[in-house]
Amino acid sequence: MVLLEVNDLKTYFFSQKGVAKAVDGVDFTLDKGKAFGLVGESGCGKTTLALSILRLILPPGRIVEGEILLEGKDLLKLNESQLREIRWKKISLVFQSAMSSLNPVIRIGEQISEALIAHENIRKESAENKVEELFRLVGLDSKRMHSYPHELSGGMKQRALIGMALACEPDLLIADEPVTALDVVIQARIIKLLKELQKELRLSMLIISHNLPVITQTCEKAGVMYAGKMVECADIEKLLSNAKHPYTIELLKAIPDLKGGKEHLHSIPGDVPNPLKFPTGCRFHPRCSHAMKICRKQEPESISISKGHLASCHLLG
Amino acid sequence: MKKDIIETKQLKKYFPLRKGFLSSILAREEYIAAVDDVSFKIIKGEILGLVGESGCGKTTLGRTILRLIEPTSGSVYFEGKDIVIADSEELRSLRLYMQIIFQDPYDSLNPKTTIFDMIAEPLLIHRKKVRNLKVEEEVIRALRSVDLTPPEDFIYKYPHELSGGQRQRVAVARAFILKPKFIVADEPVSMLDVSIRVSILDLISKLKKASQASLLFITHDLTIANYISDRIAVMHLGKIVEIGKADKVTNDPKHPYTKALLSAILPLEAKQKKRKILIKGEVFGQKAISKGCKFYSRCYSRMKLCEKKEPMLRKVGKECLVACHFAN
Repeated sequence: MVLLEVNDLKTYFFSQKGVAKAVDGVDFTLDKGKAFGLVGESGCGKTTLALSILRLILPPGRIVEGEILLEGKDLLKLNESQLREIRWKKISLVFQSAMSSLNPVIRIGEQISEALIAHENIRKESAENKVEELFRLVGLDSKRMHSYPHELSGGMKQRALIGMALACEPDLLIADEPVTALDVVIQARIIKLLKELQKELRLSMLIISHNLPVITQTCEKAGVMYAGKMVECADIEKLLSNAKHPYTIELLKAIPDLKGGKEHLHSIPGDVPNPLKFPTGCRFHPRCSHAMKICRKQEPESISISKGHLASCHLLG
Repeated sequence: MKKDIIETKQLKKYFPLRKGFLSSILAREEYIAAVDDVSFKIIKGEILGLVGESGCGKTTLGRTILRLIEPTSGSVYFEGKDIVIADSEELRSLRLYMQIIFQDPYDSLNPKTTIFDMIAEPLLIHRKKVRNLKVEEEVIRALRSVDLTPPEDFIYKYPHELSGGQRQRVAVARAFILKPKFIVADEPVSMLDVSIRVSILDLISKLKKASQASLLFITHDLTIANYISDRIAVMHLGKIVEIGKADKVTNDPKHPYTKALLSAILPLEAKQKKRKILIKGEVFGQKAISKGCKFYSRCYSRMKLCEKKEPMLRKVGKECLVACHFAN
């Protein structure tokens, strides 16, 4: 069953220098109880997409077009008070960088119970009990409720944030770069925690990362974003074994491992383009080694490779 | 005979734990041993990867070697000269040969300084020692060497106008401009996108080769250390627990901690057959303990002996040093 469906979403930022098309016509669906991964370089629009889903885009940004359907209900048509019912209770967000999204002068437990009291109609005491429960759920010692953020390590803070996001038992958890600032040992543990939570709570997840292994280890399906577009979307297995878009193929080659030796690795030349002036035609063409004449002129259509596997590239047409 | 560029002997850096007034009078002072009796060498021309979790003391060790942090005790020899006892005059002239690349290119570049001024700064500081100094030419050459071309496009820009990868290239250009003999690179790619990491790593290796410098490359990621390093040292709670050739350490690890670190690497393939070794606990904020192996409480193959006696680094196999009683 489909939980979230995003159709032709466009989020633009209107600055003095021009219009930045951060998210420019993205479609995807997320099934109930499943995890969908968004992967791409910094500046490709992953975070903007996540914030759009929660309607957290601030001016000069605006959602220009599209639909975001949560169980069939279009979130873009809701007013502020209706949105409050959705945020945290239906969809919650774990922000990027655990280090800076907690208030440094308030004890962790209080920060979480604050959210609970604001969203659920409960008293302080029962909120505290709930926080204790949440701490157990994410594998934190309940004594840590009384700690300040600086007294916790990066991994513990990330756990606390995940706990906080789960406070109102949402259906969908959006995690924006959940392990990026953490070291490998802690990364592995947070990933394990997310997987366990997904199973235990029958949670749907949208996981955002620039690091493909994070996505392949947590998600069933993934979308590759480049310059505001979703260039390829498929099940993880297909993405790994049968990637079609040159960008996806290059991303896969950029990941160092211990077995493959040192020769096969390479970087994608150039940088993510400036969203104020995306290249014409296919936005990836200046960095693509297969670029043809048509790529400069015409934007490629999304082509169905097999069931549930879409890619936008002229090579496939 | 291979020569060493850096040698540390029993290097220690203890940070006192701040406590309340009363307990500081009554109780004995407590310390965090960020660097705890570390002796190792960096061979001329090599890249030594230093690997460990956050909080294990990698950064402190890197900075202590450059004496950006004063060590508690021990010595650091740079080409045979003890820089711990060097006075400020000597230290300044030695700094000409030692540089550092920091982790976060968003924090380490002054937002109000142009790229030109930033790269020229080391030249100007050491101008007396650099003969026939032509600052502009040097800066342009440096920008070319890090592939920020054409240099004219970058020279008067400010950091906010550059992408993360370009910023880190500026930091690399700055570190290499005085042709240093030794560079500490502290997690230089961990803040960057995976897609451009390899290009920065390749750039560092290329410049290192061209200038015949030696590097201490600090990272928490063994795949990156394996990619760039000749040798790898693994650090846990202020101690080096394993040191050896990069491919030996990553393919045939001896210390249980190294094994655990390797097992924590997220594989690309969705389905994994290998069972993961997940170690418990964290190195965060652990106080100094006086006896036994520091990895004891987290180790999955500990024995009675480990609790009582601290293992020393000893030779296991060829060119590999391991601090574990049971490694073989």
